[in-house]
Amino acid sequence: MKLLYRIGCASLLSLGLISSAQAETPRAAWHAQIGHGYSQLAAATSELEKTADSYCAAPSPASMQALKEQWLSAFSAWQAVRFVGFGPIEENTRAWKFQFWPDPKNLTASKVDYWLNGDKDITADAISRDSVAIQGFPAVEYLLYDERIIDTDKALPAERSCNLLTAISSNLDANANALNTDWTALEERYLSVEDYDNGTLQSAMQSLELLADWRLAAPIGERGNGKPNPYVADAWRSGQSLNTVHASLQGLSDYFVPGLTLLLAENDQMTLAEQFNQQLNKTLDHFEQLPADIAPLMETEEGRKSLKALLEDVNTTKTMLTGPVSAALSVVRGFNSSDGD
Amino acid sequence: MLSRRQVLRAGLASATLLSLSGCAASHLGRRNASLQLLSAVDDDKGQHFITAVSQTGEQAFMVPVSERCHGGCPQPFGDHVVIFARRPGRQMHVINTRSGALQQSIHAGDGYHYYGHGVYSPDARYLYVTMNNYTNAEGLIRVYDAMDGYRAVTDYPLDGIGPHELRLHPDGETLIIALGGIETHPDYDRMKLNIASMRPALLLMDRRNGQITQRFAPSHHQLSCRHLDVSPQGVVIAGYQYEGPDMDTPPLIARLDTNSMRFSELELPYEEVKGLKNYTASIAISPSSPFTVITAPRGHRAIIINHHSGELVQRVPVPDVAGALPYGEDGFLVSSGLGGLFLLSPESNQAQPHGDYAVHWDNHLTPGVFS
Repeated sequence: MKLLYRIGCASLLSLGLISSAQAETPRAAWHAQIGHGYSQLAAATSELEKTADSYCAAPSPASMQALKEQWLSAFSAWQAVRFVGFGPIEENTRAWKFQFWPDPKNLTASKVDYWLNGDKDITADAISRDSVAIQGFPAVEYLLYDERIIDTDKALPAERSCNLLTAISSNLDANANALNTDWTALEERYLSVEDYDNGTLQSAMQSLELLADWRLAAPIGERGNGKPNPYVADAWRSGQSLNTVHASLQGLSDYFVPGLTLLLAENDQMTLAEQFNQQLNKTLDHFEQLPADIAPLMETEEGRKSLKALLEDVNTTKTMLTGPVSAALSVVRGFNSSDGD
Repeated sequence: MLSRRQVLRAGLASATLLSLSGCAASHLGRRNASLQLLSAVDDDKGQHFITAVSQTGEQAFMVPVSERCHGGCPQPFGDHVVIFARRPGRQMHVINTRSGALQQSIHAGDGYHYYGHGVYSPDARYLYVTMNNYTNAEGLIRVYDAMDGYRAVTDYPLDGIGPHELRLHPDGETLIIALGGIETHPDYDRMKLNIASMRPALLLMDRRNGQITQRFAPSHHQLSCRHLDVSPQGVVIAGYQYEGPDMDTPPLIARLDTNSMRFSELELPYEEVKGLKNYTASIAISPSSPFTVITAPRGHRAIIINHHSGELVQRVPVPDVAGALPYGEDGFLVSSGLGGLFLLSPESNQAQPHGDYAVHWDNHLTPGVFS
């Protein structure tokens, strides 16, 4: 870390990256920032649980609006930490319990329908022991937005729908709290095991690749057979599929970039750190001009052009991380080690 | 840590050291000894191929395939080698070893996928393949008649999920099957659908009737039993992949002596187990010595053990090492996903580069001929 002080804090400060004094090493920064992201998620799911309870206790257009807003806020908090693919999130398919994705067979719908049509007791505990497809944010979204629910007598605040809403929200909150606790418990190990540098970098790379190829290129038809597939996007039911992409990129900027910058600084690569940060900010700037969802943009030539421009910048960000940044940090992205069998 | 470029450079620099020992050919050679090995590979653009290396170290062919492939097995007569699409792929490819041509591709059929491994009966008549019926997530062994155009003959149920590698016991009658315990479905690509409720096992099966004669369970339900090999004396070494928290360091190598039916897990020193990163790729037993290699691509190392005593013999750093075959009297040939083949010896803790190829070697090496 001495090296970092030698290059001077000015350049780091100009990036706005030193936010707390305890972030002395790249891994300390990552642990603190990701921990912040997880605690934000836990706070947001706790709010969601409360909002769901109040809505079901006193349904009104206003409390429905509050519920929808809180769902989006909590789902966005999840998007912001979705790049973390190692540590406690890896255990027991936890990531899917927040968001079962992709869902080509619409398992989310069949699982929710199954619970609504049956007569089993709906409790958070029962939900936690059922399929991951019933446990996550998309299941709540289905209850809130899907016409298969809202245009029928199952529409909220129908009794079983309300029971399901509060049970899923409560289970989501329990899962977010456990994740947060387990991440905190990982601190000593995360700080002492050097290999987590590699793991954290690879995790961010994979999430950017997934975001570019599947969350953006596939829905707009810039991948595979060129046929747009809107259902592979996140949050298509609620029309928030660009907001979620935005939240994930912002999460990378908030929780990943500070540690990355410190690590690049340790390796005498401040220019590269600044270039990457600029490229990510340029990508984030697109969202100022974009609506919440992909779908309306696909209807006009101009809209499609703006999506392609966004994709181009996401791809440049991705290539910069997997190419020059990865090379400068000697990241081993093994063929067998990253996806063996 | 080495970058891919550094690794490739190291490979090129040492290419002059590449010695082609005659003993390799005589050891592996049976009838048509032209091919040393086959493997699934990717090129730098991510395109999938099956490639082969001749006994003289030349890359004999590159057959493009639509899905990434995994393991394979040589037909006992040396006519062809079958390479399987990897989990949850649905094709197996019959490669003619003489012409290098893709002779036939067999589809798993509606509702089924392969796991990437198979084995022939000693008379080359039947091919036994691990599969998943993904409509009910039931693992099975499908028996193909290799002499009737790979017609599916029968299915043997396994009472379990996720069979992976299998080998034939030296008795010629018993199949030894690694049951991973993990549910997958082609619609969800490679996602693991049942990590909380896994029930992995090492199974012995009578290949004539599909009866499971023995079942051994790893010491933890999230130790997925994936790969194995068996010695001519009937000692089985199996490798696990642990699906639990990464701070745990459970045992990763199991040993079954099929003479006494004693099943045990190797107790290696903590640091050694930790260095494998809870993940083993290939197991290769040297048929003419007491040594076995286990590759650990996440740990970027291979270890050689004495499979009789269970002791660690060598720890050899090799980046992204995965494929493995016995080589010579007591050595091994291993492949790296970053490029390059390497020779390992029980006498050395360093890998010796053995040819540089512009490919990413996938998980397993398949011998070009049956031995």
